[in-house]
Amino acid sequence: MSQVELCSASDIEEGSAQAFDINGKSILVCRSEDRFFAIENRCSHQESPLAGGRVRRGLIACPLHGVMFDLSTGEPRGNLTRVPLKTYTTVIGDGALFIEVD
Amino acid sequence: MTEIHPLTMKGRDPSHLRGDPITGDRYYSRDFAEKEWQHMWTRIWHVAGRVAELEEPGDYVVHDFLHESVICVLQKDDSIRAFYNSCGHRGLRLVSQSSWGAERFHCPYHGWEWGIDGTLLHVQDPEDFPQGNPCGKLTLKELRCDTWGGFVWYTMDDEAPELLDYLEPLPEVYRNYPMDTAVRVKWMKIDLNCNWKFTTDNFSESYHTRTLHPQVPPWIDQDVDSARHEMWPNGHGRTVQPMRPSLSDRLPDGEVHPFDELLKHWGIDPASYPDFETKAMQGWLDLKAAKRKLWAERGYVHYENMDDEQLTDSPHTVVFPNVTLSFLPDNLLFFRTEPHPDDPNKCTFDLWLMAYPMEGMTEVESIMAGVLPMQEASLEHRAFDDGAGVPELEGQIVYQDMTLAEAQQKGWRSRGYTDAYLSAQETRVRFFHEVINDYIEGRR
Repeated sequence: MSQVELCSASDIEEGSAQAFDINGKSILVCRSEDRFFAIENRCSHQESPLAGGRVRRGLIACPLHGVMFDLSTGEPRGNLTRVPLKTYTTVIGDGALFIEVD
Repeated sequence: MTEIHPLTMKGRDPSHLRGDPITGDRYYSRDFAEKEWQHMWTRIWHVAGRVAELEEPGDYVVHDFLHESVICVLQKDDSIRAFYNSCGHRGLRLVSQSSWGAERFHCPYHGWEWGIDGTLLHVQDPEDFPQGNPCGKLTLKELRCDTWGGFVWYTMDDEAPELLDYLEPLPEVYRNYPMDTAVRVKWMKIDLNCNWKFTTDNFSESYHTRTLHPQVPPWIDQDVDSARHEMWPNGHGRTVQPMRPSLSDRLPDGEVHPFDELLKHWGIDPASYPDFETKAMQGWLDLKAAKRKLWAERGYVHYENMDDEQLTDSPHTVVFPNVTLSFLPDNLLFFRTEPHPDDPNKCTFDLWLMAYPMEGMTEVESIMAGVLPMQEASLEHRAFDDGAGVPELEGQIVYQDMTLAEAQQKGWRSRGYTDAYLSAQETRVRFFHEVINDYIEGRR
């Protein structure tokens, strides 16, 4: 497990998301209710990126067909997919945002 | 003096009825259920969701009803438009659940993309259509959509009356309640093994309360002559009961009385009354006065326009055919049953517990599910499962009602049941069925 620095925490505004390429994987970092979350940047319904989806109350909605994912657990809601997404631990240090990756 | 709307018929007077029998087949026959679909469900106004679910343009609610599905989507001009949830290409459902932020609706099959205004924006191989490029030409099939009470409504009937006319006189009767500000703090859908009409029947009378809900009479007067039973031409109706102790039901001496707690909350000493009857009757009047005097300084902003009856009473209101709204002074409760797509012996029960916000409020008494965070809740869909599926509702009014559902459904299928034998205070039950018959038999 290692920590990777992504950006300054203030770069990601409340209710927004930003994708980062980490070791060849696209990971979406979201800020909701002043917490930071990191989740695979793909919908397990039709494999399209989650980036561009609205972030509210600890959830993100896939912009393509509306599947919602719980940002803390990766669990989907609804009946289009039951496959959860991988989530990553986020850490803030000296104003910088890190995630923990394998 | 209480305001009685001029359209009001006495809901305790069976002379307003024809006397149509309430036969058992209405509750289990597939043929009858099909008639309801053909002649009633396709013509009434349905609730798709709460306006509060639509925060930004592109947010949408999806309402599945029987085999139909409708999308109501917020537009850039803040209007809400409704479309059948079926791609204009091959008919696939476009979306499966209420969600946020569609810039466009993308069909998962061939990738056709529809704007939130229903126009077709993009298709693969647009020049491969001998009948012409469908983009800009095709639109999703639209339905009429409107709002009232903070709810999003739609109808499948182009000829239906306007929503506010359909609801008449409810928008006028309830104009003092800030319904659109109510926050849905508990949002449940519960599978029940009974016909959908069980709930409208049940919510059209309070005759069952003493038997099934013994906890109610100490805080809502259940004496039949204390209640006002009203019904209106479009099929809606209500029972207005004072929120004070019934004089004929007394808690044992020494037991904490919920009315005493309410009086104390509003600065009234329950011990100041010489006897129980005076406390119930005069205390109820004093409560109105105290609320009228203190609401502003205590932040009960939702009381601002309420009249004396609304400040203390409980108008339990059926919106024909399947919605019930309970207007409490601090809470708005929404109940609805909807038929199972294929089996008239089953339905879903929607329970939306809403509360009016007050400044600084972080938690609220939800009325039926305890104290909850004062924030919009997420949907929880469960089976009733003899009560095991909804443990947080155990002992509550709706839970007690649901415990009857299966036995009621079975009883309706008995050869021993031919019609209901109703008391005057149950007049609205038969009225409900007669309005259904009006739709089915072409009188409406």
